[in-house]
Amino acid sequence: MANRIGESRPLKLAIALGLAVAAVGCSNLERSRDLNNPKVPAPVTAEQVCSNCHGPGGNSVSPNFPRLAAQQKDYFVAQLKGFRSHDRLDPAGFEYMWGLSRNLSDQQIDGLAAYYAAQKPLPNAVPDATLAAEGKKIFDSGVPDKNIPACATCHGAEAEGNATFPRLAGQHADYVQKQLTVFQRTEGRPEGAVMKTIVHDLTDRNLAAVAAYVQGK
Amino acid sequence: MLGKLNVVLASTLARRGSVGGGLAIAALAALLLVPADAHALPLFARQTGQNCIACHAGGQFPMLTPYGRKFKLTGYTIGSRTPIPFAMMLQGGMTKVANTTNGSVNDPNGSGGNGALPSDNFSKDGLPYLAFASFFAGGKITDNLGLFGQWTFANYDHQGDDSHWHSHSTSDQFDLRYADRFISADHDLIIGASLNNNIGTTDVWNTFNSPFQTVPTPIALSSSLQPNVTYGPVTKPLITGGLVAGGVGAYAYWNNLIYVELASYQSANGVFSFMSQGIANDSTTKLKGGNPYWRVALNKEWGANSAMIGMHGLDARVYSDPTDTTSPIVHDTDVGIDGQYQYILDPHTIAAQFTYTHEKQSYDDALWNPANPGYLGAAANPSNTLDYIKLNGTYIYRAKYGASLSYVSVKGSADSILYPTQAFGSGSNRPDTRVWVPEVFWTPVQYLRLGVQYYAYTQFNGGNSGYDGSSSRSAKDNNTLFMYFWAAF
Repeated sequence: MANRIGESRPLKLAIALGLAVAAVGCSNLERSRDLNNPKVPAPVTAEQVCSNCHGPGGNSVSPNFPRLAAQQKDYFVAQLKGFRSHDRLDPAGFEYMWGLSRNLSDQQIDGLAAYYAAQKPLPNAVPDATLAAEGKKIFDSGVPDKNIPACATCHGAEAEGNATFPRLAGQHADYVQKQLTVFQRTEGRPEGAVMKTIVHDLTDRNLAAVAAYVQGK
Repeated sequence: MLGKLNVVLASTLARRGSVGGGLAIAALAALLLVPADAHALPLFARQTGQNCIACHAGGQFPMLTPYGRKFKLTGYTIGSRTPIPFAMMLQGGMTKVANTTNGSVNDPNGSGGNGALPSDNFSKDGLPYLAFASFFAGGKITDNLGLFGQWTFANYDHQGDDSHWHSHSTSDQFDLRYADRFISADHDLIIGASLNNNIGTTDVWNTFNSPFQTVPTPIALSSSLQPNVTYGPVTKPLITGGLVAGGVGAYAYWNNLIYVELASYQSANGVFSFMSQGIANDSTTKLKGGNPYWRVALNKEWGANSAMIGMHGLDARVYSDPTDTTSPIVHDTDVGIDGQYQYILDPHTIAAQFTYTHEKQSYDDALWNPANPGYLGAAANPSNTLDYIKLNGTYIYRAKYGASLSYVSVKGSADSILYPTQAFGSGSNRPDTRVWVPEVFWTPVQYLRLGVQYYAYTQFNGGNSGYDGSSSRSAKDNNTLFMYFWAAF
């Protein structure tokens, strides 16, 4: 009997200690994963929450999730606000981002945009050299026969983006291709209405080619 | 259309007097009629506002995605504290056993066995019913503290003397976590502690711990409702089977690469008794002192792939009589290796898991040695072994349509007292069982899954034809068709 009491005492102590630590640490702004507290600094949210999918420093590993490193601030802010207001309603948006963005303040969104704009993008592999070569032609020169302008006109010669035109360099081809399909076939991204017109006449092969090119950029 | 179909089914069942079945179909009908955009989502989905697919591979509970693993390891603290920290889960189904008339222990009508009548053993064979409902509470509590708490209400828990079924509710899975994360551009360390009630509840790879496997669907139909319907081997190593115990442990996950966990489990009584509420004293595994559990894993993610290889182990001293803490001890030493591969890229989800666990059971002298003055005759050998293998592969398309194939095998040493011919149903006194389980499922909305699985035995309790040693019953007579629905809201 004495033995049993002796054995349970450390466990009771551990529980009491755990609860005490928890009570003291109700708010831990330096390492918080709370998405409904405007006091949590944006870099903390980026590291504690966003990095789970978008990778450390915004260089995601999985093509399910776009790379955010060095993304244009204006574009980034527009996307997060679009998720928050449910104006952006493509599946990747509503399945993952509507909820996470719902309580972020404008200031936190600006802070996240600044954080990711300052991150160093890591190179991404060229998925298919033949496809990428086809994509480069479209990216640099468009498709004159179909009156499709060069992507570089707005997204920059190095696909670095410009203000509300996103950086595409190093972006996962799978993500780019799926988003081009969203523009082409749905109304899921009203803020990108201009893209609907531009990609309207591109073939699936064209979309895959451009996506392959920018990933390796 | 669906509504009409379900009304017809419900009225048909009502005519047949199957109240449970009627309830099940009515619940199903209600769920199917919920508009697709309703925010009727379970607890964690409310907390993060994300779809199930974010944390569960292919949207199928409970298998976790890489992000789901981080969500759990960081103590369920991502997101916003929800004003409604509750959720419900309903499970129901129908089982149909290949042969309910021939044999001894599995249908003891006429040729020995446990003396029960066939109607008691397969009382709901071929009839749909609502198996049980679970209530969840928890989620984010503070920036560092979160809870996964589950309490389960079994609709058909036991049959009273008046032959009516009685329900019963119990504590189910419980995992209270404290976690912190130290992360920067070049390093990432998650550390945490957990108070929980089931070995493996804390694990994030869904490999060796049965209650957290995705396939075969671990729907625990009440054992008293269908006592002789088996979902895989009857005997399994302690670490794989959902042990109810009080555990305190700590873990660390470094750079998404190395995971280490150490815990100690003791009987869920005294300060831990809240985690075994509703479970009868003599049904609770009683452990002597603290019993170490450990788990290590090596994880790698590249592109849309993730892979893990790991090891798990438990060293447990179990009282042979759960009501008597002076009774002789069974010493279980479990060591296993397990692994997982996942490819997740919309619209495809591919997952494969394996686990191999070796258990050595050593018995106190009084349990096996006839020369001992206190001889209890619980085993013929001073020690026995069990080797457990589970392999499964799953494909899910668009988080809606899925198919899986699993293989489960147990092989153990022969013991004429531990596995007696009559009561255990093994002519060779062995637990050896092999079963293949194909399954198809459909998830029309993210909080409802409908599925069909089939347990196809190639060996049962150490044999095939006449495995029980007293009849011509063969392993395949235990083959079981299992249709189910699984809903959370």
